[in-house]
Amino acid sequence: MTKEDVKCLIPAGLDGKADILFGNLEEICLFHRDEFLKDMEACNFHIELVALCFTKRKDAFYKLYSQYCQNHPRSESLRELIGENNAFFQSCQMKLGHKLPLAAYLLKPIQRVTKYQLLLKDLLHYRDNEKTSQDLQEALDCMLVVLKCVNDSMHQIAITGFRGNLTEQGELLLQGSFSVWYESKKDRLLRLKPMQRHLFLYQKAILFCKKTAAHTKATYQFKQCLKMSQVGLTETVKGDSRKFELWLQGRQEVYIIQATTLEQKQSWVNEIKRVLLEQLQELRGEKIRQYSANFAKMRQATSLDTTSQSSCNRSISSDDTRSHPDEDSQASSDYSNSDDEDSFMDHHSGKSLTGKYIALADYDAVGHSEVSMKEGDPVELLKVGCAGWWYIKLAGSQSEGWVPASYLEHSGRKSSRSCQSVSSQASNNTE
Amino acid sequence: MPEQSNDYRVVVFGAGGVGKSSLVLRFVKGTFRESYIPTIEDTYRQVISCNKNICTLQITDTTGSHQFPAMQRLSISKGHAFILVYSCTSRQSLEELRPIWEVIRETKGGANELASIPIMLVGNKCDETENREVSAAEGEAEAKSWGCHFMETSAKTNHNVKELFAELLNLEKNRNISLQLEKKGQLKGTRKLKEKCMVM
Repeated sequence: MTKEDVKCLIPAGLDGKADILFGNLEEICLFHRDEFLKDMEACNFHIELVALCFTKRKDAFYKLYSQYCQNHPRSESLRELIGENNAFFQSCQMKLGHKLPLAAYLLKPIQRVTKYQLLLKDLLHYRDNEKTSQDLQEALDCMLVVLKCVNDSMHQIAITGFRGNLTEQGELLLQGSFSVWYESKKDRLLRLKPMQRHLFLYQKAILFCKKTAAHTKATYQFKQCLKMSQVGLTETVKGDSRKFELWLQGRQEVYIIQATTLEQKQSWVNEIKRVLLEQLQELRGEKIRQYSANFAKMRQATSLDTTSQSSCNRSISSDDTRSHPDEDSQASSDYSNSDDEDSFMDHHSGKSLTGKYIALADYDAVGHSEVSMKEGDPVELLKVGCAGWWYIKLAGSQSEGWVPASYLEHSGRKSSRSCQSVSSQASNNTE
Repeated sequence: MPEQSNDYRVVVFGAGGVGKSSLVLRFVKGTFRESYIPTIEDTYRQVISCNKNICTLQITDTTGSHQFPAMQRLSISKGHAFILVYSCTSRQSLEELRPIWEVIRETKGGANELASIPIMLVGNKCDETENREVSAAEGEAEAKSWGCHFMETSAKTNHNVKELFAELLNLEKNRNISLQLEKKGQLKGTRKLKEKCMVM
């Protein structure tokens, strides 16, 4: 069969739709042929150079593959429409001598991008020194982040009904399914039955969507958008360790959010905290001094708090105000930022803060520069960064990295009952 | 309803290191690799019979994607049958299948539709009796709660491997498929199959 003969077989529905059928496959191919493969070959079996090939191209990987994966469902429905077994596809397959049909090859890039991380993990087993191991770990982290972002970006394309512009909400940080209860002081509406919501956390906003499964494609119907600049976070809710709360206007409106697992909750709480901390950093300045002046008064109120979890919910959150009905709700949103302002003040007042500390709660490192620690781990403070981040070394190990200062307590301190600032306490002790 | 084609697509899921590729390789090539080599190949094929015609059994390996459901969904949407593999020596690997099962359930629609799709929960490495963490009874109970079928296999000793694929194809009610095109003497009738399937 000649080229012309095959051309005659092209179904009408396919004409001019090569870009939908193949997506950016060609771009992916060129990237590998002209850049990635050449780089790999140039490594000449030096593992640390191989690692670098991945690390320095992580943005390209993300861009190419998220585009490819997002297009794939469109390609699939196009093929479904014209039939996988039409004469044109079959004669192409025969002519090219392909053992598998087109669909199998179109799925390959998606299978392949998930495998780089496995190969890197395997390379880690054969590392020859510490430096190589670090480079490989970094490359592995990069590829896992790429996968997570590609994965998340595919959920995002299914959001319907959002009037604003998603690209203006900043980077998509997390997405996942939760049970959500809503309480409002205004209408006294209390729902016993939770709503099932799919949440998308962006740098600037959090979106609540309702998932609707229509045939094979899930869509996320937009319901609610909270600006990150307006929300407060409560990390622990009594009675269920998988719950946390987001609230507006000093708890006028409260969203109680229940994760499916403890890990899911922890990663969301960590990420939300991080976003709020970043906002705080931008806001600091004159306001900090005002807050600190108020802080002394509020500390007395909070030190009465006897919730057992209070030791691990201090950095951004107030304690659950429902357990202190006498507490002014305005105060909770105010002092929610006070810890970090305090450590920030210490940082600038030049006091030395070095010494031994104890981890108050488990902290899961996010990214390469941070370090994970378990509750009760002894650590050594090496330096104080900004926005409440401290650089520490875990006692008895080589691990060093950044952790939120609020997770640390000076090892000289006896009580961990109150939720006052760790750093101010620490400076008392070092005097 | 997916159109009838000459391809029958089986998608294999499971956490890293449970022996997905070993199972598939044992079936396709009759080999077993002692040392663990992470999958590089993604898709395997085997010629089988379907409605008395020759058709290609296409086996898609999803290694590496099990933490990324949206990407996994892309492999699922085209699958006709599914194999969910865990290792009898790791309870964790069984637990990691649950979210995958949920993705399949969501992608493949309602309970009625799902019941007609061949899905097999497979406990591999059943030869490693000393390291066993999941009993056959537990595996079976899990399969029952998911409404799918269950088997224990060992890619290493070639226990139940061919039977797994034969049984999976048996479960397909929409067409009449079998491994009959295989070399002679590999399947000695359905009776033997049934026996093996029940061996716990």
